[in-house]
Parts: sequence; C-alpha cells; structure tokens
Amino acid sequence: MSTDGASGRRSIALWDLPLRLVHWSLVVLLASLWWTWRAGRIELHEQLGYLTLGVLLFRVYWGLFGSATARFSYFVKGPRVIAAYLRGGLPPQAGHNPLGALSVLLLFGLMIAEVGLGLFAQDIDGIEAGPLARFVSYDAANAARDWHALLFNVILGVVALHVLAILFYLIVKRDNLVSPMLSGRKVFDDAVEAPKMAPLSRALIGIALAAFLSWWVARGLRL
Amino acid sequence: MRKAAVFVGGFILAGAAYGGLDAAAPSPDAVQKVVDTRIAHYKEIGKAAKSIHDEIGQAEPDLTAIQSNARQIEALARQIPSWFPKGTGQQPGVKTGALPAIWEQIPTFKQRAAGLAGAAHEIAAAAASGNVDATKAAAGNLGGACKACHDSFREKK
Repeated sequence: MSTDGASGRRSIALWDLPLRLVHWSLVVLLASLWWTWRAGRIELHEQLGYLTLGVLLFRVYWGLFGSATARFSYFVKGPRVIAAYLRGGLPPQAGHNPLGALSVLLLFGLMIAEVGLGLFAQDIDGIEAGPLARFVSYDAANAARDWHALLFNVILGVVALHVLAILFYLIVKRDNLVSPMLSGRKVFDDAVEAPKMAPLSRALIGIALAAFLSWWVARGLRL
Repeated sequence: MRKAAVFVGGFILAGAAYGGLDAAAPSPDAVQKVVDTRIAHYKEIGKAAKSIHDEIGQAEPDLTAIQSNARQIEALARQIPSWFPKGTGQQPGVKTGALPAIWEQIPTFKQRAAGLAGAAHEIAAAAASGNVDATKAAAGNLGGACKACHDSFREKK
C-alpha cells in the first residue's frame, strides 16, 4: 500500500471473492451444460441448470448489495456517460467501464433468459420437461426448447466477443484483465479510488436466498 | 376440410403404395402430406403425455383427466402402424425423421407401438382404480415406451 507522490501506483482489491467465484463457475457451468446436453445426460443437465440459476440469482443480489465493482449502480451508465467515456472525457474508475457494462448486462441477460427458457422447455415427446413446463401449453414448451437451443448459440457468440475483447486488451492495450479476475487485485494509479468491498458475511445471505429460490423453482414453485 | 383432404390423400397414397404401383411413384408433396398428418398425430400423443405428466406433478392429481388422456394415447398408439405406409420414409423432397428401419423391421416396429398402447392402457387402468401411487408408477413407464421406439426408428435430432 505504499504510495510515492501523486504519480504513484498501488495494488487494490478490484473483484471480490464472490464475484470471481460467480465468474469462473459460470465458465465451468457453460461448458458442462453443453456437454451434458450433447451426451443426452438430461437429468444432470437439469441439476446443473438449477445450480446456474442459483449463481445468476446470487449475482443479481450481489449487484444490489455487494462490493462496489459488482454493483449495477456503480458500473451501469446511460448513453451520455458512455459517449463521454468513448471521447475519453471521464476520470478513470476501477472496474467495468461504461461500454463494457453493456456487454456485462447483455451476457447476464442472455444467461438469465437461457435458464428461464430451459425451465419451461420439454423434450420432443412431452416426457422430460423443465419444472415450469406444467404452466404452459405443449406448443409453448416446444417453442421454449427451440429458443433454449438457439439462445445457447447466441451466448457462445457473445462469449467469443468477450474473449476477443480480453485478448485485444492484452495484446493491443497491454492490459491483462485475466489475472485480476483470478487474484482479485489490480495495480492502479493513486488517482483511482479504491472501490468499497462488501463483507463476505453479506454474501452468505445472498447465497442462502439464491439457493432457496433455485430449489423452489426446481420443485416447480412448490414448497 | 384440409384435414379430411389430407386423410383422403393419405389413403389413396397408402393404397397406391400397397398396390405396388411403383411406376407411378407418389410425388414428394403427397408423401409430405402423409408425413405431416402423422406428425400431427404424434403431437396429439405428446400433448396427452404432457397433460398426464402435468397432473402427476400435482399434489392431488386429477385421475379422471389422466384416464382420458391415457385412453387417447392408447387409441392413437394402436393406429401408429397405419401412419407409416410403404414409401413414406426419407427421400428427396420429403422432410421426415422416420428411419428406413421402420420398414425393414416391421414386426419390431409394430411391437413397440403396441408397447406404447399397453403402457397407456396400464395408466388408464390404474387411474380408473383410483390409486394415485399406482397411477404415478404406471405413468413413469410412459416415457420409456416412447423412447423404446424413438431410439431405433426416429432420426436423432
């Protein structure tokens, strides 16, 4: 934490542990969800889907009550701020930049929609079905399945874009974004304010809430 | 009207196929109509299967509804062999997942269809007896009966 004058640099906590766990668990879940589908392991696919739902629900909670860099209110900005950022007229802030925030929202929005569709989807025989399929018609559950399949490819596309952006930062801008997502820390100019980190105990409440909600949905909204 | 026309078309086609009028092979459009009709029938089975499973998932399943859906599946399942006249398999200009194995192993295919009718019959009987647990157990075999046929005779998606 040593600083030497106005031009000093120091390492600060950027991404907290819950956020990093969310990030990397989604990487693993995305791959295993794809594999379980390909291999026809539909029951395992469903279980992993509920886990993904829990992770996404927790991320929403953490976006409201978590550390600064996880909060939507901290990084989600309107078009005017995004334009100012693109012109380079914004003071540097640790965490997602206003443009990157859009891709964060897009990716999470797509994943939430994907899990949501999976809950209503059924197989072509009307036998294997998501826990919420009973609330919709046969045709709607079939449509949910088709959209579930289609949206996965859209997610793959956005993930590819995400990885390309990280490579662009690494190679062109000489800015490694991967190690901070692993270690949680990053070196910034002293001028950049250290984001406020939330206590881990607060994450436990979110985990409990997300786990309960996901379990309830998995049971078809029956207690 | 359209449905009736498709039906009539199907019978003519079936007749032509069984009559061995290979010289006047039916047009892909006519074959596709037969395929579409049987797909519509399978969707009826799927809908009824979904209704049964939706009810089974309830705290207090409606056994009367399960019974009528099971009877519908049984009746449709008994028709299945008639939905597959010779010459309505995969061919240029026709979109169908019906594998050639259907016509290569007709006895097995018929046996699987009968298996579905039997599974549906069991559900209807259990539901008629008013025994929820027995109905649930019988309904658990329905998916397997569908799968038994699909695994061998329907193209993998």
